[in-house]
Amino acid sequence: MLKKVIKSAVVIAMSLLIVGCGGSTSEITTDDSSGISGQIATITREEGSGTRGAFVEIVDVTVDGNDNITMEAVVAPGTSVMMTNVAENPQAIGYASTGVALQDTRVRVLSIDGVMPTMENMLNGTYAIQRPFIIGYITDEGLTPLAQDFVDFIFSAQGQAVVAERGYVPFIPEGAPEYTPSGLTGVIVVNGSSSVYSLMQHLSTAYRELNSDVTIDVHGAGTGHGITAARDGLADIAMSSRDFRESELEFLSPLTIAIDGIAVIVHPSNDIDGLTLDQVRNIFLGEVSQWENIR
Amino acid sequence: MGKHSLVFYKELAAKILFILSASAAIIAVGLICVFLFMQGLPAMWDMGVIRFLTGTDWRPTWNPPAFGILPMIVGSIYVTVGAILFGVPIGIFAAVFMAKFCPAPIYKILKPAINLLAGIPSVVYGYFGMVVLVPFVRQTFGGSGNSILTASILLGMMILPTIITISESAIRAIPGEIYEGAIALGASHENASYRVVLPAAKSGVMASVILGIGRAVGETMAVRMVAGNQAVLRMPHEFLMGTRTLTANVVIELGYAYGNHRAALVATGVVLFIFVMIINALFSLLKKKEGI
Amino acid sequence: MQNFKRKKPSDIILFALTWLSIGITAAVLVLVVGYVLINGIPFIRPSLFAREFTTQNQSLFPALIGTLMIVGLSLILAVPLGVFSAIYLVEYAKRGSRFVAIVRLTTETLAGIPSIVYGLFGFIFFGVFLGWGLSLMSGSFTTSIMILPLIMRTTEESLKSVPDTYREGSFGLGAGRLRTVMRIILPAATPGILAGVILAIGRIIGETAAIIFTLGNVARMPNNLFDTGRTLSAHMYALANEGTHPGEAHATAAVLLIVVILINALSSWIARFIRKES
Repeated sequence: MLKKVIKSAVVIAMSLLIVGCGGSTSEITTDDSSGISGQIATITREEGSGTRGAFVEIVDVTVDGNDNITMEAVVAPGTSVMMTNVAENPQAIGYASTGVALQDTRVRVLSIDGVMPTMENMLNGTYAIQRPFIIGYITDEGLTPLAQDFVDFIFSAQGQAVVAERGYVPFIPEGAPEYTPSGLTGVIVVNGSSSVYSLMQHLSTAYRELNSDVTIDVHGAGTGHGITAARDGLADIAMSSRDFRESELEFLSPLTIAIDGIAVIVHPSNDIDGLTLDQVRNIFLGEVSQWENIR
Repeated sequence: MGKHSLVFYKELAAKILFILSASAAIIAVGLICVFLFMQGLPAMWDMGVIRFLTGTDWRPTWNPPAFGILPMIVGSIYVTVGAILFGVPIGIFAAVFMAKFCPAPIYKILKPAINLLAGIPSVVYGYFGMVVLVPFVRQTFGGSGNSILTASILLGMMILPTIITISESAIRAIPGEIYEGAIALGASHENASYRVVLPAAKSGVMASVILGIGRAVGETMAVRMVAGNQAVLRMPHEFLMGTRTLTANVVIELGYAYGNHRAALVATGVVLFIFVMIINALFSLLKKKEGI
Repeated sequence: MQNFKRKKPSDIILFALTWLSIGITAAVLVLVVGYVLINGIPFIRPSLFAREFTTQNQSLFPALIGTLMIVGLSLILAVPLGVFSAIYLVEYAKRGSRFVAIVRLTTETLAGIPSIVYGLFGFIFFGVFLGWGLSLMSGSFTTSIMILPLIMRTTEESLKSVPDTYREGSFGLGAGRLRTVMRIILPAATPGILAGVILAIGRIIGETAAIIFTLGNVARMPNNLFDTGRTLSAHMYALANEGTHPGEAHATAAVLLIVVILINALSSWIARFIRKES
């Protein structure tokens, strides 16, 4: 028994060390003279996430057409977990929607092939990693008058202003028509991509300020889920953060509401300013694993 | 006669109502088994049970997809064992403290505090783990910080109240004469508490450990925020690397999954369910043996 | 303590370990609670409790109401079932009957099932099979199964703690079994049952995994039983995932914790009340 006790004592002493110091979160300072070095901590979103799908497709992190992001990458379920992980880890590299990344001062956004993901560079198409935010409805059934009114709002000057405010590129940058409230009432159900979810919530809030008798349910269950829900009549509008596939276009009509860039992000202490698309690809494939091999 | 039979029927109706209510738990377990197995087992069968359980590749979106959950099974085992290493010694010592060492005024504060520890929602623990424990482990031990070790520490914290509360009541249930006898024979307070009373409460303490294991295996929301979630088969010495548990696998991907992928996730749930059943069976066995 | 002189080194080690362990436990609590409250309370403002959720205010009020609804409905379902089953087990069933053994086994099984498995089951059975979708009904049925074992166990304990003299007295006066149970035993056991109910409320409030797959996670109040919504924990989960409102996420965590603290305070108050009574 005493032996057991002493063994436990060692474990406890260890854990005390660990738990006792748990409060301190002092920053590691990277050595300024030599710049960032050591193991790259690759952080990715979960499989099925629209952001991951688009990132993998555009940066071509694939082998035989399959998503081949290194299995060693930390999987951050959700945008916030991604941001926090990158913000806290000096060795980290991750990716997130520019709408979120550019507004979060805890991380640094890298240029890709020398181009920063600014609104301008996404509009003129020089920033490589960008994707459309799409909404879809069932072609045969069309939109209900109420859903149509909401879509009209999205493409109006007010709606597109919300898009720009949130850091996305409006689909109609200038000269969108003014929206006038229609006085309709009822419920609109929107389901799909969790990336579009945040923007859609802002759009619905703005719409409801003008149409207080309308309820809009925005679910962010994922692109695939949203499309299924629309097909099964459980949603009026599906949201997608990637282009619809051919099989989906057979019954869905797509409308692009905004363009979103995907920013490659690192810890603020990281002294690298930019990467090439190829470097990003190699990092996420796991073929480059040390920061010093980047420079 | 008429009045008598009214009372009789009332009694009978009540008894039937009570029996039906008591059957609710049986019906619930039956439904859970049937519906989980109905959705999970055929999928498992199609994929090949052995291939599903021992496959090391989890590539649900690949063409063709690969559904192997061995990394998650092993991951769940690692973090649970880790949680036990951290939580059990501290929990048992703390339980002895509560039962045998604690001055009354401190007990009045500590008892509700430990109950509170049990009541903190796991989302809150997860959030705390992500912003405090993950950076701490990274800075102290290296690696990305999202690791088996981090998840173990966090789970160890989360099972502490379970272990303390149940062990404490097991220790308290030991008759005072046993302790007093030891003291009368010249044992010190520590000696009497740890070498006489604690061994006497062994089965209750074991029960607390098993319940703690159950909580650790089933924990979802907190683990997914600190464990790294890599579906990679780890070796025990890679405790500074990340892992994915069975629970995290389900909660992370269920929102996106349809078709075979969803079935594979339900099958993951079935495996988790069976895991918990085994732990429960151990618990009942222990209870029977020790007659708690 | 009085024989401190006779202490051996092993005693001193044990003594130190004991205090160390309780110190760690206390430190964990202070760290977690302190961290959440210190970071969250400064962000609590009136707009967090606005009647309607908008993307600007990130109001937790609809989630708070959703929580109350889920808690209320689950209790309506689980409390009668749990109390009646416990009455059967304690007052009616013969000791050692097969049925009782199975009820106990299944109850223990229910108690051990992880919440994510409940979420999966609720989603498959209530949501898809019964076609209730993501709704208050799916959510509250799922959580009521989760809390059933807790209510059963605590009710059993408190029924057992009612002295047999109560039963003998009542039977002696010619009361039937039902009357004895309802008029004599149940009232005497009520505080204990209440303590169990409050524990169950705590469990529902802290639940996330089972909620998001059954009730859903939409930021508004449900309009009817088959409507979706969210609870406070699910709201916290959503905020923590989106990451666009870290201040509000902190504040929501703090509010959630304060609610849990209040529930705990209530339950220890009731426990103290019971001790005074007995």
